Amino acid sequence: MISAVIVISFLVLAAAFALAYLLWPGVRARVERPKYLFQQQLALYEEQCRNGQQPAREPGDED
Amino acid sequence: MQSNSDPSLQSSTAADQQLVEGLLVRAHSLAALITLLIAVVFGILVSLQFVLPDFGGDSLPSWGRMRYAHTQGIMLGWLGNAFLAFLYHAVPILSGRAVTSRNLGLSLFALWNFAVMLPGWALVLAGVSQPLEWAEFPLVVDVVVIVAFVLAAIQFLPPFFSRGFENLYVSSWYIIGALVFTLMSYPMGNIVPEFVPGAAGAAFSGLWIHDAVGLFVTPLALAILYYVIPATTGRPIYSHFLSMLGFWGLFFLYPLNGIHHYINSVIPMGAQLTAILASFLLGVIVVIVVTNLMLSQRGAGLIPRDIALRFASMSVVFYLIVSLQGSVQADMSFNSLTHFTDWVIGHSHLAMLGFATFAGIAGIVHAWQRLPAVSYNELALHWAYWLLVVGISLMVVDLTVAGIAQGQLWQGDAPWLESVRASQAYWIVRSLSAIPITLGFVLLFFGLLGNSKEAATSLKIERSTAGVELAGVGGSGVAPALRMSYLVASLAGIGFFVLSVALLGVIPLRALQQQTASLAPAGPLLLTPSELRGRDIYAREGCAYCHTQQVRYTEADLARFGAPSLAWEGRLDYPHMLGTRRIGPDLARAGNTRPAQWHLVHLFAPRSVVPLSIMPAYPQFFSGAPDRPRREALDLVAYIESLGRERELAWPDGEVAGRAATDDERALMSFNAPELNAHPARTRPRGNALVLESPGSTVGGVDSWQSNCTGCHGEQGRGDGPAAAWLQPSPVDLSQHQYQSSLLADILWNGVHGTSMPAWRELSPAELSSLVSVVQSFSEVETTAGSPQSLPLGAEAYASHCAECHGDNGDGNGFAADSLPIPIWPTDFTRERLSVAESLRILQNGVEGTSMAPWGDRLSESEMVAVVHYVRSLYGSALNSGVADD
Repeated sequence: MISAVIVISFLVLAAAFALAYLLWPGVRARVERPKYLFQQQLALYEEQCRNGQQPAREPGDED
Repeated sequence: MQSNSDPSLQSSTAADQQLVEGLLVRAHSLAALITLLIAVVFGILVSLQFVLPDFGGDSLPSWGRMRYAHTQGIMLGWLGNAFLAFLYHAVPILSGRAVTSRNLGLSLFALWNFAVMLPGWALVLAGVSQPLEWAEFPLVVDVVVIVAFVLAAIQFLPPFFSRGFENLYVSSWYIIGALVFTLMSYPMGNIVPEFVPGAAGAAFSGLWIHDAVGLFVTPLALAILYYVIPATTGRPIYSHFLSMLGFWGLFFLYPLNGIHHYINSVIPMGAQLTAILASFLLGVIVVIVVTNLMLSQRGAGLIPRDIALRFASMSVVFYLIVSLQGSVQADMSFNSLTHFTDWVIGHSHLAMLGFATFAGIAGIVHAWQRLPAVSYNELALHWAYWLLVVGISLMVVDLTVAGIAQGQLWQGDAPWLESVRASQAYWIVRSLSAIPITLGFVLLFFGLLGNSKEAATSLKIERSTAGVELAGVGGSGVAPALRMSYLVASLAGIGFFVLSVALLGVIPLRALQQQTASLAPAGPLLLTPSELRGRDIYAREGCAYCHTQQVRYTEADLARFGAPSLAWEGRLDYPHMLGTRRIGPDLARAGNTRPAQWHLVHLFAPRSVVPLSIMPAYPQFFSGAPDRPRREALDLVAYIESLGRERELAWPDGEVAGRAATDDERALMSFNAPELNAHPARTRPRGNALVLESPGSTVGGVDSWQSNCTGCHGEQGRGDGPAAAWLQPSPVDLSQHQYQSSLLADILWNGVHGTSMPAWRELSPAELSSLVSVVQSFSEVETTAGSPQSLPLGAEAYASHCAECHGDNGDGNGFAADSLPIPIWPTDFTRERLSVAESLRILQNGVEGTSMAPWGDRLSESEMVAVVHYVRSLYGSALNSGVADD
């Protein structure tokens, strides 16, 4: 009984996520967006490192 | 040589302002590598003692303590530091913001290494520890670990909250998940079992065993893989959707896996089935994750050039294998074969030294390569990679095969020591595999610290930004909806964790409490102070890592050990001692199986009584000899003697009420077992022995003799084995005794109660038959009869002084035989004949450790000679002297 609840709960959540992803391009774009943002962040960081300007703490980040 | 040596990045001012805390990356990387090398040394020493049990002697801490130091060193020392090093590099880049505070970082570093690792190691090596798998550091250190995790959460989580959930990259999710869930699960496995006894405590322990891997190690390792792969290939991962599906699947299902470490135990079947199901489902999720990670590496080649990516890539392969292994070994029937064997040790090494370590190295190397003003030796790192791949693969394959071999032997009726003997070759290979592994780690260490001889070539990665334009699409309502769905999923993940604790911890606890209340005998039998002290010694020396204390609900356990353990048997076990590995046999019913003297000799010099044993010796518990035990030895033996005592006192009459009170199928399986204690060495009353075919060949018996008997009786059966001097009564000098086959069969089958002579029921009838022939071959007893004139005098003296114990007919069945102060059955002269010299010696001096008194001062010399001739004349006089007698 409890095992069935677990299986069904997980599958329902996964199916809902998959359906939203497949049916709505907007969701698809949003879900995939972080991987591109991450590439941008990496590129920015390494570009600054190459130029000898490692990104610095913002003023609010100071100890 | 590779280096990043831009001078502009070396100024202290610039360093103070860096987004990425290079100092902390370095500090944790170095701490990771140092603790790794130390933990590996502990592992090697532990491994060597399987092959050379006396390796190191008194100069090393005991095997169990080093085992504790090894596992905690790998998980907290090596992986903990490696993950922290990576987080200091990755979190600012993932979040676009610095970690909370550099000073906090320095405090966390100090806390982790100087308040957790150093004292943790020092305490377990000094004998202050918990006998809990992956939770061996004592409670005081656990508290510090929890504080450290709180600080880590404060340090690394706030930067992520500055941007919307919907924009978080999957590595960020794994980092958040690991920090939050580890904080929740660590106390459950490290503290709760101290307050919840027996199997219920084991249920919580099982949750942590799996959560340590599933909610701490795996998420942070996957965070590294999802970070390093796109960072080094220059391309985004294949699918962020699949990565998130894997993330939620992992955090939903991993906490539900824990009880699969106690399948076929007394823990309620509902909890076991839930764990099995979750384990299977998790296998599906892992396939999704691995597919995504592999597709994300497309174009990088089978063996990528970038060294960090190379380690990451192999980590993915290890992850797939170890996860599928995990799903398969949760299967009930497969589990009954492989559980407690080296298969599981291979599995855990593949998880921690394969998957997690390779990911950890990938993370450290990737971060290290990007530190300002560091150098590294790429060639050394490449060599490290290959040595580690070879070494770890060799170790895991070796242990996996060893586990199957051990499981098969345990399923059958082979003697326990056969599995030890069969494992020796595998254990040698396992120790040899430490050579490439250690070299690999040393090269990794020196590779990262390699001197720079050239200017930087550095990082030239063409990044693909295709698809970034998608950032703006999706409509104004999509982002909030996605944010909301992630929030719901996060809450659901936490809900599933709570559900796992309820399903696999609290509900089993209540069920086990109910079973205890309805089935336990009234009034628990408390341990004496000596037994309690012995229990502490058992715990601190890691005995539970080789000896389980749970007879499982399997046919193999039922046959080998007896009635499966009921919940109430562990109701006073704080913390539980169920164990997860059997190198030696289960000890749940160790009490009343062997005499205390045997245990003392076995603790002092295990191989003197069990030549094939690999148990560590504990001479530190003695003042130089087993007959001079210190309190520790006596306490430990007292504890061992107490194991199973309460159930034994209740069995079977006292359990009638319990049997009537339950319809639980498995409880009934325990009640209806043919015998409570099926230990093959446990002595039984004489008379009910296996009928052996006659005569056995000595050829087959010589091996059994060498393996099982020489420790006490010596190579030539003269009673002068290494343990002989410490045993009372002394082992019999077989050259001075002549036995009929039926008596030897009786002795071998039932043992000699009250002495250190165990039963040998685990040997096959053919082996026993051969052993009988070997024993008989040692006899040098003269067969000549004495003077007939002396027989009447001998008979008279015998009737006056000997018959009350040895029986009127000399069959050892006198009226006082069953009420002797030392309950050792008197000699049966109708089936055992001693040499004249031996007979006279015994008559003169008695037999120490038995009720046989010296008669030298009560009988004249002529009377003694007459008695000797008389009892020798009784040999073979029994009407029914058994089968195949000579």
